Amino acid sequence: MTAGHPDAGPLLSVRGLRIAFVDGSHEHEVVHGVDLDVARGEILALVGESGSGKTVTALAAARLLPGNARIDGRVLLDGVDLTALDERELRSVRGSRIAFIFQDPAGALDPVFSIGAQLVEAIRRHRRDLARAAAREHAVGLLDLVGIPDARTRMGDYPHQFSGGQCQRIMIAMALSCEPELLVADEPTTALDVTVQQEILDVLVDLSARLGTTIVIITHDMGVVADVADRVVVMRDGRVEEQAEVHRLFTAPRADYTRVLLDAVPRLTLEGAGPLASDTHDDAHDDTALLTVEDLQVTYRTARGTVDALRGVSLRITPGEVVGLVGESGSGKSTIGRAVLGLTPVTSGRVRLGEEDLSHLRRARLRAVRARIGAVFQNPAAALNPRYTVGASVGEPLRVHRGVRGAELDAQVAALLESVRLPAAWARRYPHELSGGQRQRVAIARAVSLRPELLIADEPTSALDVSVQATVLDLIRDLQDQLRFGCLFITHDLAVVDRLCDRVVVLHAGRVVEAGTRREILHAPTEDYTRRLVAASPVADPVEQRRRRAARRSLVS
Amino acid sequence: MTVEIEPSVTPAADGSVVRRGVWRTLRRRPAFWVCLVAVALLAVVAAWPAGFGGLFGGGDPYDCDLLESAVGPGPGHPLGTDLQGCDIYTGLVYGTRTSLSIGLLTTALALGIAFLVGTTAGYRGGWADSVLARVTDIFLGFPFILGAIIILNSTGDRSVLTVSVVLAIFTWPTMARIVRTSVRQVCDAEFVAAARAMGLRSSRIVVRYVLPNALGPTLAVATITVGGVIVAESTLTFLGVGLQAPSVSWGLQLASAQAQFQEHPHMLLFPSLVLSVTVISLIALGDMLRDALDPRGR
Repeated sequence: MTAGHPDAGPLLSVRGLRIAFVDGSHEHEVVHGVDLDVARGEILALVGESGSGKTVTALAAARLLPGNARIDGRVLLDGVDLTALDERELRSVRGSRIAFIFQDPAGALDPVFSIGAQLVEAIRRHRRDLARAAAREHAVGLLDLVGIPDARTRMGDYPHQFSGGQCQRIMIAMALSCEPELLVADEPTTALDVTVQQEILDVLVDLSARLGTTIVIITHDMGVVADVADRVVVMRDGRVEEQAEVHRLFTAPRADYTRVLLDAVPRLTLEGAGPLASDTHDDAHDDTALLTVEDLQVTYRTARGTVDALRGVSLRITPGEVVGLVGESGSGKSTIGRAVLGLTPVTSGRVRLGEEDLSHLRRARLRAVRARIGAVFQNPAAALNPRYTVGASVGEPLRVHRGVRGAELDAQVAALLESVRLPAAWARRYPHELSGGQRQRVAIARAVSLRPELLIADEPTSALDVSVQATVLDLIRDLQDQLRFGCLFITHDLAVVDRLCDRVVVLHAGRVVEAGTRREILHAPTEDYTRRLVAASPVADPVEQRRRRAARRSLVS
Repeated sequence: MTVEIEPSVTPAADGSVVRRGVWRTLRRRPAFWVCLVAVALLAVVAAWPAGFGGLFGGGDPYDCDLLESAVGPGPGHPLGTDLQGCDIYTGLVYGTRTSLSIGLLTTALALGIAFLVGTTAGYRGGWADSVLARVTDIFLGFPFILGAIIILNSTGDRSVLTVSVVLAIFTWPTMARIVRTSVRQVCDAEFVAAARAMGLRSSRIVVRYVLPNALGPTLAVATITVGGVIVAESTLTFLGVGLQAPSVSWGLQLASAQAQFQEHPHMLLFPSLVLSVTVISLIALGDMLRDALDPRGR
């Protein structure tokens, strides 16, 4: 526990916080007695996996929980117990002393008002004496502060005219409009690309340095923690597992859970140490390409014209090779996967699987070829048909393509479930009874059920918690070792690529920027864009992050 | 990694979850039995009106006595009589068959068209969607009464079937829009993309993946539609283009009672009560069935 600021007590102090959700006669306690302090001017990271109670704890501090939540314990802001305030007093605290930033910036801004109008309104709500013109000036100043270029001219623009990262900056500006003492940021960068994430984190660190704002950042990403936090609170299942200063946490974690969490973080091995997966795979590669994509162009037609998703992409996967396809959102990486799977019409170019040209096949033949490709998608919640049992989902390809039925099918499904380390008896369960990681395993079992030559994995672990992500990645690698399928692994996370892939293709704005072995791309990138990407992906090491931040600063000034 | 930090459902001894089937889920709900009995009773009445019509004397819906016009509930006429002196109870009993058949038949026909059009538009997208959307708009935009009068006047014989068909023609567009919207939503889900990537036939994807997950909202609207259709039939019959006189239906009773509501509320009260019970039972049954068919609701 910190008693680091002897002059004044902690800004926010939570004591014995218990939160329960009441559902009819049931009461379900999600936070079981949390104690924590947030010192003035510090950046505190609240870390935990989904269901750990980190967000609920922060929301409870401002009593922003839904009506069926019951809060016990005390939340002291500057010595005033927030749990004892009535709704009116609470409103004066929310927004003016505590401000929030949420995960989805585009959803948090009202699409029908210009951002200037929304900012002015937020400012004038807390400072009624301020004239409209003065409020406008103040708003422009705030936009400048969070790094929106041409702030004055962009005041009249609407949220859809800004990128996701810019929207998040505007949200930060809005949160700052009333000069809060405490800024709570709930996964502020989770929905953003790494390079954009870096910029937003820089804005937050900069604010804390310049304005002395106290920041609580809620995150699941150890890289983000290492980057910005002064102190870390690790939560699990509604309890605090460990509180420590950031360097101590990363170098000498005390709680077992913290160690598990840190071990699970996929790391970019910046020194290139350890055997590379490709070293063991090299002999398996031959020159006959499994998948050939040649000069692929995909153009989407929208109401307001055409969008070039892919502008001539070529790549090759040989049998048994894992190729990572890396890029930021909008780079077209998913479009390649969808084009190979036949889910997106190809404008021009060719996709060949072995000798078959997928773009010139008749429908029936194409369906047969599809049996040679497995697919895993990103969203575990939507990956499986909710009306099918797990067994029916896994057995569907066998049933349709191989005509397997009855006891034979049951046996094969059981074997498949066991191969993804799920109990065979779970075949009778429905998807909603499974966790995200378990559903993703089922999706993988389904994808490999026909022993495909090629697996297309489109961000299969992005929506999962780190520890679960690690097990799913291990599973994919093990299956790949056994079944030797070629794999196109689409991801935005370079650390994941490092763990799994033999070769890497970097995509930007619908074009291949760079392609090469994993070692070449991650450790000796030749293109500027790749270098920026590698530099922006946070590593779970506070010392390294401080060094990078200093390097960036010196570059700017 | 040896530690698996995932929540898991409480498993039974053999690792599977205790599960109830559709029927086992339904039969545990008292509301299900209440609604089922109500609907079953209506069905029996519709099939065999003679057995119920005469329970309190009378028994012929056309046996009307103008001397007993608009009498309130009393002996011989448990629910009173209408302006023509016809027994309301007997009318209700004999109207059940017409009203229920029109309500259910129309809804079934409309649902059929709506599913065909809505699913094609939602699943295919592109030009098929545009064309079908415009066709739907045409039917939506056409004035119901005018259209019905034209069509029914040009058909010589106006039976329950023809009236149902005409009503269905003007009922399906709303449902088709709902079907299209929910089909589109489901099609965006990754499990549909996965099904396509698996190389399944479109028919299998639509029947096993898309429709079961898109059914809910449409069924909810369909059960409500039954009530609306029963009343709409009365409008047509009132205008003289619906069922041919002398016919009995709840809708007709409601139509003729409207003008007399202030002096003789019982004329409107009892038919509307029966209609409400029917519609509420159907809606509740539909809701419960939908919940029971969804594995998440069991």
